[in-house]
Amino acid sequence: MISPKPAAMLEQFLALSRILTGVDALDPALGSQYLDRLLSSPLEPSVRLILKRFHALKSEAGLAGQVQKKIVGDDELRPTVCQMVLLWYTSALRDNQSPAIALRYGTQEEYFSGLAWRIMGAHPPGLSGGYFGHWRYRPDNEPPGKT
Amino acid sequence: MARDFDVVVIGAGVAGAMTAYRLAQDGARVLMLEAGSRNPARAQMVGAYATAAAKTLHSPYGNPETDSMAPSPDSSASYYDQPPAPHTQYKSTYERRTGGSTWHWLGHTPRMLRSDFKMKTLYGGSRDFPPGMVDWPITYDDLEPWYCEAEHEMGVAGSDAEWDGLSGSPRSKPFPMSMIWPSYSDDWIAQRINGKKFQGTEYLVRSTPSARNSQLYDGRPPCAGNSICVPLCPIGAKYDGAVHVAKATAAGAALWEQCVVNKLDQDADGSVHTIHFVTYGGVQQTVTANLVVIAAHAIETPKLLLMSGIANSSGAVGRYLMDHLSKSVFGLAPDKLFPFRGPPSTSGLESFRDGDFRKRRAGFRVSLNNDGWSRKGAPYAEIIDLVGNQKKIGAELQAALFERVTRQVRLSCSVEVAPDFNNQVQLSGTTDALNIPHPKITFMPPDYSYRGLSQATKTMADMLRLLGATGVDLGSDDKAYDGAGHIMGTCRMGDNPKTSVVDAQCRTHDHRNVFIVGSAVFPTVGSPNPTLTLAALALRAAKDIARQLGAKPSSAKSSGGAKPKGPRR
Repeated sequence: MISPKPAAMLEQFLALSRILTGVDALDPALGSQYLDRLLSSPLEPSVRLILKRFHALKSEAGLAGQVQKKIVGDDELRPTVCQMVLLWYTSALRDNQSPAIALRYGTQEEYFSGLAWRIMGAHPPGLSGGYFGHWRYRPDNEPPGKT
Repeated sequence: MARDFDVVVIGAGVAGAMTAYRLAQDGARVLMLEAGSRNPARAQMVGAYATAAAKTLHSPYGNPETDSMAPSPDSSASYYDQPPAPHTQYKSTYERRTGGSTWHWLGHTPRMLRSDFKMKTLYGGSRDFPPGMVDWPITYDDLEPWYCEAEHEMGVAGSDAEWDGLSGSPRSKPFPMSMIWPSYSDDWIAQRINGKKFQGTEYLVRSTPSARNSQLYDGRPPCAGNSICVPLCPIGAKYDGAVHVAKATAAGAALWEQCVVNKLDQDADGSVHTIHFVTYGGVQQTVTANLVVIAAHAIETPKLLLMSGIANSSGAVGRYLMDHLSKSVFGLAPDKLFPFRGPPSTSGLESFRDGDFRKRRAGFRVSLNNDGWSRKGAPYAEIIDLVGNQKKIGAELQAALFERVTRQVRLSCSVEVAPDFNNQVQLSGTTDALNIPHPKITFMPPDYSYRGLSQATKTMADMLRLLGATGVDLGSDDKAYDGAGHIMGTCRMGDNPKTSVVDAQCRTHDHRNVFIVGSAVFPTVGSPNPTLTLAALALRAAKDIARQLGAKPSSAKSSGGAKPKGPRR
């Protein structure tokens, strides 16, 4: 049973996630589900520590740079940061640190909401939303300025 | 004697379902007995795939009851009884369910070449030519009209201009649909290699014929490029055997699912009329038929024959197990190719399938793929590396991911496996939940095929060089291969009853009323994907079966015998 998380905690998580993913328009409902998954995993202590440290950074200028230096740059915390990004990008959490990547997914909605596919100019596998033959052209969702 | 059905078809995959459909259309009383279960709604299977930890072939299809009672190599890693790695292993797998393994096939439907049917005549004689390599008892011309029929039934999209007359193999009818469009990556590669040569053979990229709709066809939508043909088309644009299961039942055929056939009885006159099967509830039952069609793929079919002790006066049942050796190579293109879109593969090269070289080594196809380095963990591995090792986040992470993934190229080959008497399916001492033996597999690719694999690797390496690829990965083991999912052989077709299991009509030499349809009957395999050929053979066999039934009408039919209602559970 996951204990109810404070709204402020979700806000912290979303704010940090925007910096980590580079995506501003993150879905709060999805964020709530992802935070629940993180807090119900062995990553929980590390997630709490990251959010606490992020909270302490908020008043400082150059927030993204501070995140890079004090959270991503922390060798102890970075594996959990990586999990947070992986979650937003693919909806998966990595099960282990072995060479073989073992993944756990959440809901179907989460899977099809993975951010990585759009960032790659692609679509979630299984849900193109496209028309016959679209694969012959450069992607409609190709990020601007990345030709 | 009144029998329950005119025909019992064992296995409701593409071969069995097409046969049942044609015979039911002809008015025969047909029963399909299927060991597996019916799939749930397609959307439910897409959901199962999306949430599965491993996106395996079986990920949409897990069904604890079926996986226990009718296990398969897809549902159980220990289903095959074979030596563990690093011994050479048989690596292709299959599903046991209504509609069969076409649920998770890629959908490619190249035909065999004219020469593929005449291997011994054209290329035999040298010391390097495998002794098991024979001529088929039929020719390309015999099968050509049935290729057209199969393409019509399945709904094949292809380019007539690119495929008519390929290696002396003409088409008598156009493809039912225009081709599946090549990918952005295919066109980019074609521009850089077409017309160039490797050791005298010219590169020419062709669109690959596919049983995948390029337009509305047979009530199914055009492909939307959802990219997961393997393991499941989310919208039914790709053909699967369930299409003909539905057509067969609509035409009047009965379908009994979750009924695992475990023995066929031979009568004193050599005919086979009694089919024993067991339900998931463990109830052993029988059904009788005037004629039996075994369509249980190339591993369950010989298993059943061996369990029944029939059709094996040649000693060839289970022998000559084949596949295609598959191998992938990887590189990074100098330009962005935008993989992870469209069908996983839309084009390939056919120029390496045939030539005088087949006197000493196998031919092969090369496929251009649209799935980047997904087989090396992309994009997950890239994300983990970029964040975990390179400490990238935000816009910098996005740019790095885009840059790395959009240039990924994968080429793969499909190499002809020569028939070898010692590569075989036998009955294992281990059994499943219904006390049915697992298949014991012995498989070692012949040197002829390893030489083809080596040549295919060199060819793909040259292609990557022409593309200006960096970060090239050709694999470290020259003899490493993957299965292609093309399970073939084990009940070979031939004119000689002493060396083959079925005749040119797919009728067993030993039992006039037992037919085998499916890729089990292939005496040799060439390098194309086998499903179109097995479908053509099944349709051709159905005509002969109908003729045989007409010659000897069902006594039950003439006496108005009632159709059994279904199995007891």
